[in-house]
Amino acid sequence: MPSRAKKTRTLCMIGDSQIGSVSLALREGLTSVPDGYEMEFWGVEGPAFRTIDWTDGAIRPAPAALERVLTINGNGRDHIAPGQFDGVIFYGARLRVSMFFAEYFQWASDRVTRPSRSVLETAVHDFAISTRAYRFGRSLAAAGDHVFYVPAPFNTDGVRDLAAPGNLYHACPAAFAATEEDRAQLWDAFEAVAARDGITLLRQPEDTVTTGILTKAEFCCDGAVEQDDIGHKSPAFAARWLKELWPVVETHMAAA
Amino acid sequence: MTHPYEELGPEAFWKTAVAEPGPFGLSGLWSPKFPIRPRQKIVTAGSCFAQHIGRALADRGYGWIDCEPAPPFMQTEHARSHGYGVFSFRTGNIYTPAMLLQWLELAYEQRADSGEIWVKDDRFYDPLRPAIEPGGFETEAELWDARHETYAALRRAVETSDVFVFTLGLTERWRNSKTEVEYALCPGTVAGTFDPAQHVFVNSNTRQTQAALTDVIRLLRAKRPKLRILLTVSPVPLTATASGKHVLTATHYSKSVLRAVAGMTADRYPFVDYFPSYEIITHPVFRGMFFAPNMRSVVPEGVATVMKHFFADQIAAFPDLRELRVIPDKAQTTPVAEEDLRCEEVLLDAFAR
Repeated sequence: MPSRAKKTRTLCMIGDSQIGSVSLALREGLTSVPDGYEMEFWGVEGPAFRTIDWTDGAIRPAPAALERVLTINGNGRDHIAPGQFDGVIFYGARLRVSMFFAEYFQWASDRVTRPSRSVLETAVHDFAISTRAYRFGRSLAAAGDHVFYVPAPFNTDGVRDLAAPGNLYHACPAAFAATEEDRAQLWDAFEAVAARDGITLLRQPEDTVTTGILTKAEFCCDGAVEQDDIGHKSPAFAARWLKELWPVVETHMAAA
Repeated sequence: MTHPYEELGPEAFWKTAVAEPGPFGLSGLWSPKFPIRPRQKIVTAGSCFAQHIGRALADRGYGWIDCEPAPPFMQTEHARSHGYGVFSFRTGNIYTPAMLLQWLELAYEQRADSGEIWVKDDRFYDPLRPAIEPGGFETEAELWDARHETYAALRRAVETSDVFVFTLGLTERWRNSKTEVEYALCPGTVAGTFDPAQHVFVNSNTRQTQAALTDVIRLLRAKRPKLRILLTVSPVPLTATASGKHVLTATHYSKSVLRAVAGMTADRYPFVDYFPSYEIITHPVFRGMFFAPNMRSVVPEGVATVMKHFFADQIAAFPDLRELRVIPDKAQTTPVAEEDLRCEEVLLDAFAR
C-alpha cells in the first residue's frame, strides 16, 4: 500500500516588532520550523499593534495598519479567525511580563511571607488580561485553537542604567536581586493562569537571564546601545527561546 | 446668672440646635479634641462602616495608610474580595473590641495562636477571617503565612500611624470556651463546624465591652505613645441575632452598649475622641433617609453627609485646616469602591430562613 502523505500543519506567529528577530533567526538558519510544519507571520510593529482588535469573531487591524499587516504577512491575510491554523503562537505581543516581575518583586520585598497561590495567580491573571493580545489568545483558545504565548522578553542588561532616576526600574530596586527561585514562582503562576485560559505560555530560558529581571547583554539587538534599545533582541535570542517552543508545539499537536 | 442653662449656646437646646435647622441645617455635632491633618498617617479598622471612613479620607487626600497592599496589577474588585485595601491591614471586618484586642495581642505575641484552622472541601479557612481568601487557602502553610503577614502589617500600622480610627460594630460574638479564640463569625456559617460544647455565644455588656476596649487602648498606646484614637459606632443594624431577642431590639441593645462605651472611653482619655457618625445616620431627625430600602445598608448620601460633618467640624475647631489644600495622592490606594463594601456579616443572610 502506498503510504499516505503526512499532512503539513500550519502555524501562525502573531506579534509586534519582536517577531523581526524570529524572522531573522529563520533566515540565518539559527532555528527552523519543525519538519511537517509551515509558519507564517502576522502582526505589526509597536504602536500600530494597539490598533488590532477582536471584531466580528476575528483579529483585525484598523484600516490604517492593514497595509503594514499585509506586508508582514505576505499571504494577503487581513484577519485571523479561529480554525485558520493548526496552532497560533503569540510572540512578544505586548505581554510585558517584566513589568509584573519588577513590581511584584519590589512589593514582595516589603513582606515577610509569600502570598497564597490564589492571590498571586489573581494578580497575574489581572495583569495578563489587561494585554489585548492575551485576550485575543484567550478568545482563539476558547474557540478551540491551539494557542502558545511567548511573552515579551526581559529588558536587556548593559544598554542603559535601568535603576537610575527616571528609568524603568528606579522604583523597583529589589527586583534586581530576584533569584531563579523567585522567577520560577512567577513563571509557574503565569503558566498556570495561561493554562486555565487554554494558552500554553513559555517562560524565558533561565540561561538568558541576569540580574534578577534582565536579559543578558549578549542577546541585545544590533545597535542596541546606539539606539538605546532595551526591548528588542538578537536572532540568537529568538532561536534560543524557540528551541524551547518547538518541542512544546510538537507535543501539543501530536496529542491533538 | 440665675441658672446654668442661661449661659449655654444654641447647640444645647433642641429647638435651636435640631428642630429649627432641620436635618440639613445641623451643625456642630462634633467638637473634636484634636485636629486630623492630611499629612498625618491614619489607620482604619473595625466593622463594615469603617470602610467608608477610610475611603472618604483617602479620596480627600488624607494620609490613610495601607500597610498590607495588594500585589501589583490586581484589579481593585479582586483585591477587595481578597481583603486588600479595605482596611489598613488584611484582617477583614473587626466587629468587636474583643476581636481587635485578639488581633493586636497575637500580632505582638502577647497571646498564643490556638492553631485552629477550619477545613471545608479540602480548603483551609482562617477562623479569625474566614472570608478573606475566597474559596479558602490551598494549604495550611499558606494560611499561616498570610496570618503572619497580617500580624506584621498590624504592627507596622500601629507603630507608624498618628490616628487609629476604630469603628465598633457589634456586641454579639462567638468564642471558643476552651481556647478562648474570638471568632469573626459563628463557626459553621462560612466554614468550620459548629460545636455547642465549645462554641459559646456572648453578648457583651458595657462592662465587658469597655474592658476589652481599654485593653486595646493600653496596648496601642504602649506601642505608639503619641497615638490618637478616634472611635465611631457603626450605624448598620445587625444582620442576625443569636440573642433570642427580636433582631430590631437586639440591634438597639448592641448599638446602645457600643455608643455608651465609646462615649465613656472618649470622656476618660484625652487622646481618645468619638465621632458621631452613628447619630448622623440613625437619628430620627434624619427620618431614616440615609438607609437603603432594606433599612440596613447606608446609602452614599449618608456617607457623604457623615463625612461633610467630619470635615466641617474639624475646620470649625481648627480653622487652620481650612487653609490646607488637600490634593489626593494617586499613589495611595483608595480603600473601598462605594457600591461594594465588604461585609462578611452579610454572609449570614445566606442562612436566613
